Parts: sequence; structure tokens; C-alpha cells
Amino acid sequence: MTRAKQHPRAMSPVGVASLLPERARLQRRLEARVIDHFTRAGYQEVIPPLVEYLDVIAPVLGSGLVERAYTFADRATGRLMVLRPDVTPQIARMVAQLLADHREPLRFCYRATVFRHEEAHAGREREVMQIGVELIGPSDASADAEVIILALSVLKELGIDGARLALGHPGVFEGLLEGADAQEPVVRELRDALARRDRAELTALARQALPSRQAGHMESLLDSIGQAEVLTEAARRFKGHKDGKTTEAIQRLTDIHRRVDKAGYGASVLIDLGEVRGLNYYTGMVFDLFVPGIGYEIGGGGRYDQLIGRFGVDRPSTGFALSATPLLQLLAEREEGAPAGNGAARKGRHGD
Amino acid sequence: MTTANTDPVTIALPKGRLLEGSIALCAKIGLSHPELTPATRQLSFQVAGHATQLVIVRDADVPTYVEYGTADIGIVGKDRLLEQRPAVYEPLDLGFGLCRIVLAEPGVSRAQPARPARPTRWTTRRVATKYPNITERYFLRKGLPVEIIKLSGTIELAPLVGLADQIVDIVDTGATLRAHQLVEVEELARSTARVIVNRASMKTKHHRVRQIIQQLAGLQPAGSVGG
Repeated sequence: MTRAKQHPRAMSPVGVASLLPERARLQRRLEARVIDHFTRAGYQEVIPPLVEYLDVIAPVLGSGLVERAYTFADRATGRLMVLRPDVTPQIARMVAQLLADHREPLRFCYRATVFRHEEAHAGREREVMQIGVELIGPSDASADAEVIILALSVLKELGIDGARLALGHPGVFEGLLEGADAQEPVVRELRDALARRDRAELTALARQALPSRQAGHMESLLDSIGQAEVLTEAARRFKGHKDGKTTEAIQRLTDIHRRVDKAGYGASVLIDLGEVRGLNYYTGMVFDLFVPGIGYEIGGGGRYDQLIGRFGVDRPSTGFALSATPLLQLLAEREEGAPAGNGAARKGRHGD
Repeated sequence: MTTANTDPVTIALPKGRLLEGSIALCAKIGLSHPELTPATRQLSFQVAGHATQLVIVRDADVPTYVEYGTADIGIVGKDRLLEQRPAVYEPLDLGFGLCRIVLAEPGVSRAQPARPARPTRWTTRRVATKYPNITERYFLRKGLPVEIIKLSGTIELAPLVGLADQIVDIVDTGATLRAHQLVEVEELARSTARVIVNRASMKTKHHRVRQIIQQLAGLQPAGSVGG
């Protein structure tokens, strides 16, 4: 029965890249420019290890990441180790373990590859270089605005035009469920439908699970996308409503937006109250970054106030990460397409 | 920096049973081309006077084109979305192209299966389908082991020739099932044509994309949007 098929065997794993000199130079230059920008903004670079103990890091990993992580046994102890699938939980671990007594705000940045098993999907490789920051300590809107401005300013620094930061807050959605005794499977289905912007499904589910006023509000999230006026309209719509969490979230977003606008980046922010996707450790504002020419998000972040707390040290935090691959693609296209001295080459000289 | 109604967009239309309805809908919102007919062999059409390109691709490929952002918008059956679960937005149910995905097995009726179901004899149930992911999730939810046999077409033949015990397939009128002495065991899902949108396009070209969705939604009979 067994037919020994002579499959040609891959010489390198799927989803990982080997960079030859031109790309390697481009990637290192990109990393250096981004890290340099973060450093000048007061963020100090840290270097997390490539591996962690799975049992330590698993409780703070976003949903689905444990299943997609690469694990292997530690020779000495037999405990499972994991190739880091996300940097933020590592930094949380580092802060809780090594800096628990440090009460001043911490501003860290990092460049690190993360490893996740991925089926073929747009923008998903198995080894991804992430360059990011974490602002640990402050819980106020100015910290949220600070990292948003940092994200938009670093793209500007790289000469990438037309960036759009889609800003949302899971509290908007969660507040609308308050008082309705919707069960977890229904909540998950509602969240999935909203994440997909599936109007038919969301409407049907909301009308089943929520009082009609709340259902109407839930449906209105689908159309709550646009500039700052979305927040004004939402504040009016949800006024006097007992959804305290929803109102709070909208106030917070308004506060953040005002600060980002003041810094001159208001036009790059797209408010999207239907944005509920993302890693489940986010407790406050969340955002995704998009740029013309790339069909998926090039980065994203948000506020995660309970993550470090899960290691026993209460420390609100906020941050974001950029994926190097799409940025490299943009920079490489420009380098190949445009004459020397154009765009990136000229703008990126500060720190060299 | 701003997005305008003049942003160029590409719309992917599915070859096959949804093509005619998709072309008709596009025409109603002013997106047409003299060569664009269900019988066309041309694959790409620039709409005169609009910054809009229409492309025709295999229905199973529409989610891929949209997910990668090669097309900003696509029209595709919900069955493909359930199967492929692409990371795209699906803001609008177009209501046409209704069909059902069902589990079926040989028999005259539910009460009279060809072979009485005797789960005690099954070590693994074999199910033939062109929807392996939908089938796998269905049996996972039921907590039942299953061996899924992926086929590309004429699924209804599989149980008749002993390749599978049951099938999961798309059913329109049910005539195909009856013609092959198959009876429906359970409906897994209903499918209609959906509009899907690339996640980045929704943000970077949102005025234009939203305009198109609203125009298409405006063509829907009242109430159909609410599912």
C-alpha cells in the first residue's frame, strides 16, 4: 500500500525569509531609523530573549497565540519552552520580574522577530520582525496620545505618506452589553460579526440578544467610522444611556483625538467604533495602522492595563508595534522605482 | 492624505452562478462596460468615467484577491466566506444567489435511509465535500470524529460509489440530491451573495468604498439588509 513518494523537500521552512545583502541593508537601515526615532522620543531599547517558558507566558498571550506558537522541551527541566510569539507579554514579564519596584514611567522600545504558525494569508509570515514601543506606568489619555503620535510621526519620518490610524475602543462594545444578560457564546458571535462588519448577522444577533434600544446602538457602530464628528455624534446618541462604559470609552477617545489633533496628526486618524478585533489583552483604546499600497495593517497597538498585573505587579501600559516586512516593501519599491535622493533617502538622514 | 470619492477602486466579481446577478447590480449603480456580460471572455474592465476597474475571477479566489488588497471590494457567496474565513469585512448581504449547505446521505427519506445509521459500527465516518473547513467545524462542534474527503465537484456521486458515507454540499432546489437518492440530514448554513471589502481599503479609501456599499445597499428591498 505504501508508495514512498519522492517529494522534493523544501530547503527552508515556509513563511520565513532569507535576506540577501540588498534587502538586509534595507532592513537594518529601516530598523535603525525607527529605533533612532523612538530613542529620540525618550524610549530606551531593550532586548528580550528569543525563548520563554510557555507556562509563564501563556496566560498573558493573546487569544489563539498559544495554539500557533512553536514549542519545544527544555533539556534541563523538561518544561515547555516557546519561541516568542509576541513581544509585549515578554516586556510585561521583564517589568514584573526585574523592575517591580520601579515606580516611574518606563519607556521601552524593541526590535525583535516573533514566530507564529500561519496558514497562507495576506500579510502573515511565520517569522515577523516587529519594531515597537511600550509606555509603562501612566494610565491617562496623554499616554495613549503619545504613542499614537509616535506611531504616526515615525511613518512620516520614513517618508510614508497617506498613513491612516484606525482608532477604536473595546469599551464601546462592552458597554452596550451591560445590563443585558447575553451569554458568552452570543457575545463572541456578536463580536465576530462586528469585527467582520457583517450587518446582516450583527443585526439578527443583536435583536435577539439585546433590548431594542441597545440593539439599535450596537448596529450604529457599523456606521460609526470617519473623522472626529463620529465621536460627537456617538456622544449625543449614547447620552443619558446607562451604558457607562460606552460613554467613558467615547470620552476617552475624544480626549485622545483632541491631543493627537493638536499635535498636527488629526487628519491621519480615522475613528472606527466598530473596531473590536485584536489581541484580547487590550483594555483601552486600540488602533491599527494602514498605508496606501499595502492591503493589510502594517502595525497596531493599544492600551493593556491588566497584562503586567497578571504577574502580580499592577502597572497600566500602552504601546504599539510595526511590522518590518510591509514597510520594507514600500521602501524597496520606492528605492527601485524612484531616482536617488528622493523621499526616504533624503528624509531619513537625521540620525545616520 | 484625505480620501476622496475619486479614489481608484478595483471590484472582483465571481465567475459562475453569481456572475449574472453581480453584473446586473454593478450596472444599476453605474458600473458597466459594453463588453461585460456573463458570457464574456475578457477578465478586466475599466469603467469609463469612473476610477473603477472590474475584474472577473474564480469565485473561490474572490476572498483571496480582496484579502491581499489586489481588489478593494468583491462579491462572493457566503459559502466561500464560511469555508475560507478570510480576514475581510463583509458589510452587505446582497440577498441573491440563495443556496443551502447541507449534510446528506443515501436514502429515500429521513425516516428511510438506505442503510440504517449504526454509529456503533463507525470507527470514522467518511464525508466527501468541497467544503472541508465547514465540514470539520460542524463535526468538531458535534464532538464527532470524521474523515473528510476533499473533492472538487460531483460530490453527490461519492456515497453512491462507496467513497464516502455522507456528503456536505451546496443545495439549490434539492433536485440533485433527489436524483441521486440522497436525503438531507441537516442544514449546516445558508448562503447568499455578499459584498466583501479589504480591511485596509475600508480605512484608506473609506469615502469611496462606503459610497459604493451604500449605493448597493440602496438597491436592496427594505428589510433584506437586516437579514
